[in-house]
Amino acid sequence: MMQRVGAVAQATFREAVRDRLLLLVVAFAVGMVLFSRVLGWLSVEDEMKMMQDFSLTGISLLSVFLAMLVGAGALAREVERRTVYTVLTRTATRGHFIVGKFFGLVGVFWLCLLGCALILGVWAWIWGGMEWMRAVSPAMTAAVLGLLVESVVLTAVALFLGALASPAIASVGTFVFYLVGHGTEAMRELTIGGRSPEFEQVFAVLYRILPNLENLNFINATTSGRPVDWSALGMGSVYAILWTIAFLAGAVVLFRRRQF
Amino acid sequence: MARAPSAFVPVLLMIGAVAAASWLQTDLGKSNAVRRRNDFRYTPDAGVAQVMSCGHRSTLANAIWLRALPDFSREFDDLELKGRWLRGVLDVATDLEPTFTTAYLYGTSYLTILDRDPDDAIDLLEKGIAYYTQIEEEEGEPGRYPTLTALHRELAMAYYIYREKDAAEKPMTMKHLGIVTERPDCDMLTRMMWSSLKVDQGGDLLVMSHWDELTRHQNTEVQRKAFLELERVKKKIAIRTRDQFKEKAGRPAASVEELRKCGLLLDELAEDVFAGIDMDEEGNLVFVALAELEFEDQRRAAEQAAAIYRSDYDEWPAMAWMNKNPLATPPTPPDGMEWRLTEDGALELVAIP
Repeated sequence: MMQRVGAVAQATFREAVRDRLLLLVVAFAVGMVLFSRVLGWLSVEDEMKMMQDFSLTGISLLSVFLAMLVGAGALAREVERRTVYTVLTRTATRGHFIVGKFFGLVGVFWLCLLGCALILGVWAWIWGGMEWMRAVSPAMTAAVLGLLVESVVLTAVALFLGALASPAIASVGTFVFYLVGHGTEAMRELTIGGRSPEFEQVFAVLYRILPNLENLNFINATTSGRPVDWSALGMGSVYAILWTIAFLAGAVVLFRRRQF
Repeated sequence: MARAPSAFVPVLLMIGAVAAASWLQTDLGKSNAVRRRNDFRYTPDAGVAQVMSCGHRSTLANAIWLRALPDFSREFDDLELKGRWLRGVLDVATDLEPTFTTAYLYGTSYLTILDRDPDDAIDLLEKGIAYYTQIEEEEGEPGRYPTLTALHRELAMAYYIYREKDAAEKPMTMKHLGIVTERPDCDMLTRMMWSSLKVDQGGDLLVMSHWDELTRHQNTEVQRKAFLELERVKKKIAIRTRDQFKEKAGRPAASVEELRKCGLLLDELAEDVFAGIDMDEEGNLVFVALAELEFEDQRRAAEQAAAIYRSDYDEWPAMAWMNKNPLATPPTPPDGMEWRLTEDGALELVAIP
């Protein structure tokens, strides 16, 4: 089974790496990382803070854009080109296909994210020096790890929605998932002690069942100077993997029922 | 077969249109600048901004801050609009990112110096202090955040400059200065200010103990400064005691011994204060220990200034330059002596030939 999944993953990886859209999105993220230095110059102080924040946001957007533009259409492209038949006529099942696709996409997305993170690291070292790097590297590492795990969830969501609907809808749905995932924490704070206790109660339930990507968000902590809560990152990763399993399972179920 | 129509006219039209638009932009740019001076500035509600940031609170805070930064010094026709806008920005930026040090400090400077609104400045600083105090307590590491020291210092200054006339607010300056002096990253200037104000309030023993403890600091420079400040505090207390004695007794004190035993100070405090102090024939207090320390301090400052000169110009300065430069002037030499700068940048006294 692992061999079949691995074969699909490899093929997905090789195909995705050659995708021009992927290169465009990565170029955007790299541009944002490099341009963040200019934003730092515009600030009175906190040059490195500006650079760090804007760069990490750029990498986060890279993660969601990759899922939206490459991940959401991955299944539809295979069906359109009829290459999916080639895979499924062998001993690989639809489940193997989905899981293989997932790992292939995660592999290529991680390559892009780590590449951008490395560029950020070098850029930050050039402008901030070794001392600054030593001060922020635990927090930056936590932020990048959080983004890597987040991309795993987003990929699973993109595949789920891609199995459910057309690529355009899957793409928009992935972006909405990202927005909702990052907005639930702030919504909860907004509703607590608000004017509507009923809405507060409803949202309290929604808060438990909606996926919360803030569990993986350590970007804001990079400039606070606070020590990294590694246990929180660990728990958040476990939480994210559970949601990933849920979405992947859903994608397998949907893909099995799909007629093409 | 029909020939394809010539592209000359469309291309010419394109170039002409772009050139005309570029020519118009110069004047449009000027009118844009005038309009933008009083453009409507919308500050989102802090809670809404948190939701809209989609988890990127720090980045959104930065973006709002960068957007508002030029407006701090820009002239607005509607000053109320400017005030509302910038206060909103400071509020939202520090809500989105409670550790946004620059927003607190820069915002405080704007609110106090430019906008003359110390109330809002005090509220802003207290917001930052509340947050940082909470996280220091949660982490169990007091003194970890230099920003908290800076905020307390700024708050002390805000109360000192703008609220000292209000008797109810007067203790707030000392409260916050006191907090700063207990923090490990407290600077010398703040300690000196606290020390001076505390002595004015009669907190002699506390101040003397504070400096005495620092004379045993592991950093020799801090030790040296502490010895100097201790003597300065003793001088201040001694002068105050002399004046109080004169007012009470109706005559100046005849000797240092009389001041020591007059009962205006605690016995052990009086012993410490008047050690190293003499009285001359005219009844003036002579601060022997302080004079020695100040002499040494000024000599070191002059040597440091000479070292800076050398690093800038690759040569040691002439004594004439040093004597003319207030930051580099060595202390007055004893009679018959003059200063000479050695080849390794040390100042030494030599007899005038």
